[in-house]
Formats: sequence, C-alpha cells, structure tokens
Amino acid sequence: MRSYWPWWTGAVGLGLLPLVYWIVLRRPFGVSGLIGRLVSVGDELSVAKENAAAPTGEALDALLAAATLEEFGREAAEGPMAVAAPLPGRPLGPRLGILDAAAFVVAMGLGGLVARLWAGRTLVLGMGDSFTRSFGSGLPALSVLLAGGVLVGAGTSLAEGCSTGHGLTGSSRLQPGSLLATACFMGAAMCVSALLGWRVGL
Amino acid sequence: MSETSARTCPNTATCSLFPRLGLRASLGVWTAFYCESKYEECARYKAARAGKPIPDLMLPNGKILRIGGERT
Repeated sequence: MRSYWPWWTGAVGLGLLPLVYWIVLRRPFGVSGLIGRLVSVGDELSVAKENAAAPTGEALDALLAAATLEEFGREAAEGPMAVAAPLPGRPLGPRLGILDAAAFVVAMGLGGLVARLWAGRTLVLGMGDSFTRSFGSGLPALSVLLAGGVLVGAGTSLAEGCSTGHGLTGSSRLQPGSLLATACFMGAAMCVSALLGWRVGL
Repeated sequence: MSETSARTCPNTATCSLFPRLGLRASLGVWTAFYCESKYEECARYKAARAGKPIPDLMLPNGKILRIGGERT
C-alpha cells in the first residue's frame, strides 16, 4: 500500500482549479452553485425551454417597446433617458449546462476514487474509523450525517457560497465577504475538530 | 476603478438582460429605474439572490417576454 499523494499536490490543484476555470470559462467557480443547479433541475430545464423559444429581432423590439409603455407610461418611455454605460472589461461567459454541472459533480467523486486506488487502497463503503469512533454506526451516525448535511446546505445558502466559492474563488479575489465567510467556517471547523480531538481523542 | 455608483445593481456584470436594455435609449428607463436605483425590487435580482435560474427575457418587473404575450 502506497501513501497518498503529497499534501502540496492538493494545494496546487485547488489553487489552479478556480484560476483555470476562470480563464477557460470566464465564470467564478463554486461547487455549491453547480450542485444547486442539479437540485433545481426542473426549473433549469423550464428556463432552458423558455430561452430556446425566446423572440428575437423585430419581434423582440416590439415586445420590449410594448412592455416599456405598459410599465412606465408613454411619457417616461418616450422621454430622454441616458443609455446605460457599457460595462468595463470582458463580460462573463455563459453559465454551464446541466450536463456539464452533472459531469463535474460525478468527476469529483471519481477523483477521490482514483486517488484512493492509486494509493493501493480498496473501496470501502462507510465513513472510516475516526467517524465510527466519534459517532458510532447505524441510526445515530446517519442522524449526525443528516444534521451535518442540513447545516452545510443551510449555511451555504445563507452565505451565498461554499468553501470553494468563498474559500477559493472569493478569497483569491480578496472579496471582503468571502474572506469573512472563510474565516468563519474555517475557524468553526478548527474549533469543532479540536473539540472532537479533546472529547474522543482523535 | 469601477465607474458604477453605489446604487447600481451588483449583478449587472452577469445579467443577460442588462446589455440588451442598454442598446436603445428608449429602454433606458428600465435601467434608470431598476439597475441604477431600486435594484432590490428587480425580479431578476431577487431570483439571483434565491439561486434560481433566470429566463433571458424576464423583465425586472417579473414578466417574461414571449411571442403571443407576456407571462408573469
């Protein structure tokens, strides 16, 4: 049995991922956003259908004019208004499709599997010895996992990003909100880890 | 340094409708009212905050432009 890849290869890989993602796709990288798209696949497909049937050209111009008139009235719609200034820099790229998001999520699992098999370890279903020592097995362990999943999902939704979106993408761009979010969840993780180490002796 | 004001919607860079509304002066009333003022009331902004997918032609008032009539 070989050892896992050196720790720094993971650091390099995680550091390169949002950078390459941005260069290639011109989009900020965040795993929770990709998973969120899979969760709301019904809405995604509905919007994709809507976009495919969207009017263009003169039909769109006529619809926009009518909607403007209806929303603001003739005086406002025909009055002199400043045209919105073009945005500086290159625009963002298009959002990934549902299948692209699904492929990424599947590839994350496959990557972990490859790393494990590469190290000469077999595939074992379960959370490992440390988890079993901490939380046991069966229903109590499942309850802990369920509660943890709910907390992660709720926290990600409230913070509008996860450890990749805030920790990798946002922090590398020195976004204040992302730096604060990362400090909070990393700090909480360290505290819980230390608590478990003290309580269970991990 | 960005030239956008503090009241400009933070999603203008990712909004697919914003550039379209900027193409014609007659549509500037949308950006003046929503994108550069009350963007918190924009249906697109609200949907983005909720993490929902946004139709390309959904107007800030929530109506979707379609051939055969708008739909809310």
